[in-house]
This record gives sequence, C-alpha cells and structure tokens, in this order.
Amino acid sequence: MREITLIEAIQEAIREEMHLDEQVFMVGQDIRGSIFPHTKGLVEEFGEERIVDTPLAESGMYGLAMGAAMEGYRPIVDFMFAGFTYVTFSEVSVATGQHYFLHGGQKPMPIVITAGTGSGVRLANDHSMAVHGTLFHQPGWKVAMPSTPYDAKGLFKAAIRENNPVFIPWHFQLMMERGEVPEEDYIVPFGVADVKREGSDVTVLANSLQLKNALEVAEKLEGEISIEVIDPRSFEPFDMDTLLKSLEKTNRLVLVDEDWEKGGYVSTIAARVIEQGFDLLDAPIKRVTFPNMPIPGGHMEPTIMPSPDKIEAAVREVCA
Amino acid sequence: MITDFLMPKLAMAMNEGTVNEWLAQEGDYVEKGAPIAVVETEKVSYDIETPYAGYLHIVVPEGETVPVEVPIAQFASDEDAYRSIAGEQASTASSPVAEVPSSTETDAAPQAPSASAGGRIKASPLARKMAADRGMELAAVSGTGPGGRIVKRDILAAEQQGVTTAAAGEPVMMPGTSLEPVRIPFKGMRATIARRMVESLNTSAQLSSFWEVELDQLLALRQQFLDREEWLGTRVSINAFLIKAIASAATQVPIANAMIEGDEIVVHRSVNVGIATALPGATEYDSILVVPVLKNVQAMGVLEIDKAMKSLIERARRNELGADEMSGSTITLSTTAGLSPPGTRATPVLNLPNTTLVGPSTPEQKPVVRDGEVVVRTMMPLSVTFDHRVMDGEPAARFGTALHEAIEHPGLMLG
Repeated sequence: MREITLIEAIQEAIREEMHLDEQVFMVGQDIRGSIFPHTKGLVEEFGEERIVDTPLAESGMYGLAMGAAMEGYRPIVDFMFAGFTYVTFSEVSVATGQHYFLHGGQKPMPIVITAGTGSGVRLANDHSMAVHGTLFHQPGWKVAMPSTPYDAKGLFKAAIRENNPVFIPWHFQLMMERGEVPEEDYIVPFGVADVKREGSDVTVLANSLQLKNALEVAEKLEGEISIEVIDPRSFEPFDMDTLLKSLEKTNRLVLVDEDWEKGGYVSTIAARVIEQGFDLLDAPIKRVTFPNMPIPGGHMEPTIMPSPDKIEAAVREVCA
Repeated sequence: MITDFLMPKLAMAMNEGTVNEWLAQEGDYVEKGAPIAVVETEKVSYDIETPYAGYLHIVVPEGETVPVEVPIAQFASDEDAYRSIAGEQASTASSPVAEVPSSTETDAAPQAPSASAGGRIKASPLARKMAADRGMELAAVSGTGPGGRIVKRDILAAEQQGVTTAAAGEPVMMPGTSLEPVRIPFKGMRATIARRMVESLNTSAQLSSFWEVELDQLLALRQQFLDREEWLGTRVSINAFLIKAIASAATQVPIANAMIEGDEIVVHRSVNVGIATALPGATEYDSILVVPVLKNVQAMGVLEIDKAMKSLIERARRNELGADEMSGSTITLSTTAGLSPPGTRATPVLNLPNTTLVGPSTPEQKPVVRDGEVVVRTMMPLSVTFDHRVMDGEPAARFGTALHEAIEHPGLMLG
C-alpha cells in the first residue's frame, strides 16, 4: 500500500469531500498560498469561492462560517494555530456548540474547525497551545485528533460528513509522519478507540504525538513490562468500552495528554473510570500532562512537556 | 571554543534535512558567511552559509539525513580546540538518553500486614473485591504494593498459601477462641476427585495385594549416585529407582500396562507413569490430588527420570502443567513413604483407566531370614492394586514378582 504523510492524508480527505459535496468550502488565512501543505493546490482545483482567504480576523471568519452553516453550507474553518480559536470563543462555544440545543434542533451547524497544534517545535505558547480539552468541555462539540496518516484521512472525512460541529486539530510534530493510507474512500468513525499495541500489564491512553511516545516506551520496555497502548482517536464521543475492557485485563492505567494538568480531558476520563471501573483498578490512575504554565518557546520546552521518559516513569510507578 | 552548527529549519513544514554536500573540507578554516553545505529537504536544495568562523569539524557526513536542530558540524576557534574535537571521531552527535528513575524493586518477601496506625488497611479496589469474592480477610494478607498496599498479586499469593477464609459474614477465627466449623464448598477439584474415586471403586473389580521388598541393594546402588551428586547435577530420589522398576516390570508383564478403551483392552507398549501428587486445597483443612504423567519411562534412565519427575512435581505445585502432562498415564505410582507409619499396608484406589497402581509406603528395619540366618534389613511395604477385569491373579503375581526382583536386584534393570 502507498505511504503518504499525515498532512497529505488530511489534504486528500478535504479534496475528496469537496468533490463529493459541493456545499463543503474552506475558510482561513493564507490557505490559497498554503502555509501548511494540506491546502496546497486546492484553490486551483476548487476556485476562489470555495477556498476563501481571510484577513487576520477570527471572529469575522468564523462568523462567516456560522452564517453559511445555518444556510446549509458545510464550512471548514482553518485557524492555522489552535490557540486562535480563543479569539472567537464565545461564537465557538455558545453560538455553535450550544446552538443546536438552544434552538430546538432547527438549524444544524455542520462546521469543522481545524488547526495545527502541539509542543516541541519552539512555536511558543500562542502557537502551540492545546485547545482540545477546552472544546471537549463545551456541550455540543465533537472533538477528535489523528495520530497516524490512516486515522487522519478517516477522521477528517468523518468530521466533514458530521452534521454536528467538530473540532479536529493536528500535531506539528506528526505533520510529516509517513504511514499506509488506502486510496479508497473510508471513514474512521468517532467514538471508536484503536488499540495500537496489545499488552497485559498496564493500559496507556495516549493520542497524537504522545501516542508515538507511548509506543516508543512500549517497545523499549518489551519483555519487562507489557504495555497496552490505546489511541482514543476522538475525545468526544469517547470510547469508554474499549478502555474498560483493557482495564479488565491490565488493572492499571496511565493517561497521557499534552494539555495542561488542570482540567484536561484526561481528568474527566480518570473520574469516569473510577465511577465505572473502580473494582478494576489495582493501582492509582496516573496522568502524564503538561505542567500548569504557558508553553515556553525556548530550551525549557522539551524538558517539561510529556515525553517517553515521563511516560516510562509513570508506567513504572503504577506497576510497582 | 567550540560552537555547534545545527541543521537549520528552512521551512515551516521541515522536520529533517539531508546533507547533500559539504562545500568545505574537514579541518578547513572557514570565514563567517562562506557557503558551507548544500542541504536538501522535500526535494528542494538550499545552499547554507556558515554564521560562524572557525576550523570546520564535520559531524554528519554527506548523504545522511538528520532531524532539524541536530548538530551537523562544529566550528573550533583555534587549532587546539579543533584537535580536541577532531580526535573524537567515534563520538556521535546523538544526545544522551536521560536516566529513567528505576522502579522500586518489590521483594517477594512479605511484609507485616498493611494496617496503618489508624487501623485502616491499604488495599487497591481490585484487591478488596477479590478478597471479598474469596471470603478472605484483608487483615490476614501481607501487602507488597507501594506503601504496603495489598494488591492483586498479594491476594493471589494468599490464596495459593491457603490463607484462612472465614465463612461469609463471620469474624476471623482466632486460635483457641472458637469451635465454629469451617465450611468448604464441595465443588471444583475436590468434587472431581470425589467423583472419580467413587467411579473407580464402583466400576472396576479392583483388589490389592501386599508384600515387603528388601531395599538394601537399591539403597546401596543409590548411594553410588549420591556420592556423585554434584557431578550428576541431581540428588537422585528413591522414587526415580522405583519408577524405573515399575517400567521394567510393566515391560515384562505388559498386561499390567493395559487399559480398557471402549470394547477393547489396549496393551500399551509405552510406559507412562502417573505420579500421584498431593497439593494444598482451598483452605488449610482440605487438599487436592493431581496425577502428572511422566511419559515413555521405559526409554529413560534413572537420572532422566529423577530430573523430569522433580520438574513435573514442581510445576504441578505452581499450577503450570500442560494438558498433556496431566493425562495419558498407563500405570500409576502412589507412594506414602515418609508420610505413613512404617510398614503401612493399604488398598490404594485405582487411577482409572489404568489397570495397575503401585503403592509403596514407609520402609522399616526388620529382622529377616537370609541363608538360614536372622539379619536386619530395610523392608519396604508394597501395596499393589490391580483391576481383575483385565488382569487375573496369575499375571498379577508375575507382575508383582517382576517388580520385586527389579527392586531387590536393581542390577537386573540394566538388562
């Protein structure tokens, strides 16, 4: 099977969905010139009416998308860096996420927000911030993030076809990651986690760059500690069944997320596990997260962000 | 002074680059701003100028690809500095792996029970559930988890050792304070053993014969093995010799090694000896019986039998036997030697579908008559049960004699 990069897989998903449905269009800054490769060539293929460049005005560009969505279009909003979602946060959380409930289901909002995110590339706080935890918290929003090129194409297609608002960022450090991606049309549904590696001593839940780190640790500790690595793929809806089934086998859980320690989505997952799987736990649940501080732009960054070393230490701690 | 020159990030989307060509030689002095290398990424080549002046030491050779921000060269400010880095040709540019805090080794040695000062026992949710399911008191379990926490493996270990399980809802029995009966569910292994015992007694025509066999020659022979214990790698047990003798007798009187299978009597030519082994039960009051099987004993020497037998029994104790090690016996050894009083005769129950069971017991020194003289010999009682449906008295007697001869004159087993 052919191998393409994660960012190429996203591009393929967008291209194919735009062919399949004329209502799909994209709005963002410099997406015609393609700062990032996923929008490369799109304006030539689909025209300026469907690939819309905007000024640096998040509320404006997002408002455009909301209005279009209410009129039956299917916009993809590209904020380029996930942190800029916050500039128009009221529109995102209240006016979009809660919209369907507040207006009695009259006008679905099939909006997709995407952007790059992630630490370790010295882009500093504003450009690296994780936003998926905040959107996870908002009613009405579905949130997903791919960890592999295969998942990227499938999840982005699912996002564009989804009639509810979806937030689906991608990690800078995985942008050029290569992987097998089928040429045919397929989706990766939301709410289905993927056991990326089977194991029996401890369950590690990790996504995106941290999935890659977790697999590295599992490989390193093979023969000593058997680690089962699960990629949630979507945070909301979250596949609790797969996680609990894994805990029936391993009885130990490490949750990894690049988001800040306070209030990241893994805190909710930990609480749910205690509610639903209390008797399965042979050790406390351990979270590996970013410390509660802005993301540094210099030499401190790789030292404090979640890494294979930190995941390994957490695994050893729960297996003691 | 030495300055690292890192693979530059030349585009937003660049994660790694290839050094296509070095435009200066190793050891050259280069001026600041001079073209130094051609670097390629995503099929685009870039000419790189050096921001530093100095003597060039190449770290990443032509043709290699490295991630962005990895040192590809070093610049030394003077010749001495250059010599100090040029000499380290073998060192790579990879960053050292950070020391991972090693896990605290948890000993197998159990600590004191895990009650904290306030009397609260630390146990994981899973361990609590497992203990409750087994009717096990946490106070009786030692915890090996962090801080003395009782965890899953501790419950399993306690179960193995037959920690006292109180009846549901009743308090832990303290020695000498209560005469409450202990209730053990009559199911699982115990029920299976019970069923098979009754089946054996009800369906076969089994009876036992007893005699005594002189053990002295066997013990002397065994001593030759014991004297060379280190060299042989094992302390040969008497049972190994007895098993060899059983194989010898079964080979001479094959009908003793036969079994009823459907409407046929199958005379097995391989001698597979089942070794009756007692194991702890669910509590300190009951026990279970398993019969692991040593196969093709007729082809094995005594040493091999000894090692294989010990391995089988050890693994039986740890519940690690495979299915084919628990079945397929053609004849059984069930010994009470060392357990029963000296000279015990018994009527051991046949291990169906075997036809024969050999049951030695504890030897004792006795006066016997040899060559008209009264002498003291070590006499071991042998009880042999056989199934009269398959084997009549005459072949049974021949089997007994063959066994007797093999034990009393072990040299015959060399034949």
